[in-house]
Amino acid sequence: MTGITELKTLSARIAELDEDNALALTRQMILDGVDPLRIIEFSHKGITEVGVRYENGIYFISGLVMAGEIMEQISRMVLPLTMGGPSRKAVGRIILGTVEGDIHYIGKDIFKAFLQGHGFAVHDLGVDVPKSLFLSAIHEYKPDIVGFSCLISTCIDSLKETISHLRANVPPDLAPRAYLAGGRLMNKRICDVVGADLSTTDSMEGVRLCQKVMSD
Amino acid sequence: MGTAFLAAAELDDTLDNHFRMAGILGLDMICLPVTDRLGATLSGLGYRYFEISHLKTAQAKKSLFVAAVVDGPFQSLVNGMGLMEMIKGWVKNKNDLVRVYDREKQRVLKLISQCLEEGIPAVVIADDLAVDQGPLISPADIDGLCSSFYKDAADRIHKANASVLLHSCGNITRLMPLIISWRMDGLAAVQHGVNDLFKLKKHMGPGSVILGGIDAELLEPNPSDEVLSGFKRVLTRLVPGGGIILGSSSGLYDGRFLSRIKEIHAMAQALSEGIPF
Repeated sequence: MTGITELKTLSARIAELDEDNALALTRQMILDGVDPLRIIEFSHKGITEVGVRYENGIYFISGLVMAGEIMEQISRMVLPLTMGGPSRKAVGRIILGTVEGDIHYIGKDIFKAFLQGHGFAVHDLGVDVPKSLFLSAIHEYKPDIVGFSCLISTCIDSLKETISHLRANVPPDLAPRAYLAGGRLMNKRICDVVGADLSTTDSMEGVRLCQKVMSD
Repeated sequence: MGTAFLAAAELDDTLDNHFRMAGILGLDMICLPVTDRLGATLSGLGYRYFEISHLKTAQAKKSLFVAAVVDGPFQSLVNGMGLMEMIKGWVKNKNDLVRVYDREKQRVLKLISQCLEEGIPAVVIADDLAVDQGPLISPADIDGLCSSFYKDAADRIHKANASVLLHSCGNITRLMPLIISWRMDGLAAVQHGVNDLFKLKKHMGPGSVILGGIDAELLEPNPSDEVLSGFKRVLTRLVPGGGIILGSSSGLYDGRFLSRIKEIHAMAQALSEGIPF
């Protein structure tokens, strides 16, 4: 069963941030036997539209957060039905944390919501995270990407030290595909200084970078 | 000024020591966060709340211009619910949130009145309505939710011959028409890294005041040339017209900032000497 009309409606409901109807429709499509991969695919179309509306100034941070919330709930319903299927390759596992010495969480939480909205499994280590905790989390969760939030310049050294510690101590078979540094201060120069693979100042761009890492 | 900042000068976090530190740094103005909630702390941010009664003591010292910093109703909701829950609540259950906001609004207005009764000449309303990328919710929603509070607060404060300044983190450029309609006298602790302070000042008019210029990046021991030139640009563009108070756009919560603040003040002094008022 294709359910193309319902799938398109799902995209539209997500784009409109209509949580109740988007979730009800998803439940119904699962019951109707619609291919879960198609549900994910059309949910992503809705999320993409949210991103476009945000970039065009129609939606605000609240829109990104809400879309992430809806998508996370849909993923929770649908992903177990796709275990072992090809869609598992479309998402990645990410560890996020604000580096030691920095207690800012807003940007990290927004990024997390949007990552989840795009189907990534995110393990959030919180704020003021010591390098040892990043290391043990890598052992435990085996992430594809490790994301560091760093908003204040006085913590650049902490970020650098954390990445250096991880590069020196993470066994090769657990090495993530990328270390991603995020925060308002980030630019190419700081990215190089701290030893990150990628950097971003924007949640949307960050999601795209993560998608690219997973597809490379 | 945060507890660790004071501790860097071997001072406990008391009202007297805030004044002592202001003397050490040669400050003309001091901002004291106040609350009506006994036992409330801002420990996560590294600084404390004062009680309303402290304002009278602070005013009696007469050595500094004292501003009371009051969390706005939006910030109070964020503090209570967490930012993400607040944002989601706004999208999902707008009416419920409006009701809670209205209760907070009444409480904050009362707190502002209590500050004014202590003879405070300025109130800073701290409401983080934006992040670096822009407003958390749409300007139209902020208008619907917050405008009546701000207009009431401005009326109250102006009737007491005091000034009202708004603090919001983040990029507030898109909120300027609203902020002007709220009749704010100025902006406090506003980030120039994500806002053009010169344009904001122009929007607000010649009688307005901007408190800022020291973004968190400048507090770094060895700031980049870009950060230094941004600081210089703020001073050279804003000082000639007047209405700028040099201050930090973030709380001074870290002891390492103490030596930097002294250096920044010296830098500002040197720069200002070459700038015609």
